[in-house]
Amino acid sequence: MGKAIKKDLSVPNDLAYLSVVRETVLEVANKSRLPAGEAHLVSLAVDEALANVMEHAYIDAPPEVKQVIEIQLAADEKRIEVRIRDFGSAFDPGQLPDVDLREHVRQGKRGGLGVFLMRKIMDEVEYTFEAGKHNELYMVKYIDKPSSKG
Amino acid sequence: MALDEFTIDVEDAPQKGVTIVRVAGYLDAHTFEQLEEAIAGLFASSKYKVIVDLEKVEYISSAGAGVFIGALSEAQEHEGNIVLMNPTSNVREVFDLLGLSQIFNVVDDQSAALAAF
Repeated sequence: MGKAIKKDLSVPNDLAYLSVVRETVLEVANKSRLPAGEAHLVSLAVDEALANVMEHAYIDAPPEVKQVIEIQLAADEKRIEVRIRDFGSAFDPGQLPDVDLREHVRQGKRGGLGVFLMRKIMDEVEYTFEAGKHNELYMVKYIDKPSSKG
Repeated sequence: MALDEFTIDVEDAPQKGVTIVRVAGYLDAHTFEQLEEAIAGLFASSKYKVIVDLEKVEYISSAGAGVFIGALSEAQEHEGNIVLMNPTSNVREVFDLLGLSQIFNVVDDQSAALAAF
């Protein structure tokens, strides 16, 4: 039985911290049983989720709201779990439609691609919103599940 | 945070009317606007034939890929193109996940990139 790995971090609402979080996710994923070559994809999914939060959650936030984002990473024998929590506006990425890339190109659009990648890379993506408390995005990557990125 | 270094170098290609944009570092939601501005600057100078050298891009997220998606149709409307050159295996994997490889000309070297125009 391998040991569980846990890592919690809290970052300011600042896109400059994306690379710091990516490095931390890579560190956890590389210590887990996740096959080599998939760690960077999990890191990408977290990066996309975090970038969405940073771009949307605190736009209309009153000054008293703490503009931080908490990230909890946990890995065990079977999975890597990620929780991303913010204290800003509700934003459910699950409500976004799937991307039609050719239509994006035609219109010169580039939004929505991050959520598309999150869904494609991770096995579970769930969003919860507790009014007055926080928003939480929960994502799981199962380690022995055949890759669905095909 | 030295890992955050992100650079863009723009140069004329040996072939007339083609510009090479050499990008290095992490192309993510924090840096993509710099590349977007560089490409917009080329378009403003009527340079629509663009090769983007990705050899030194260590990481790309959807924000980075979105720059190419956002620019492609404008380039093509002006008889140009955006050719993506020499992506690392990680970057190419993201292109594949997004389906970009089916829409963009992704090539391995400069002669192939130039031949695309």
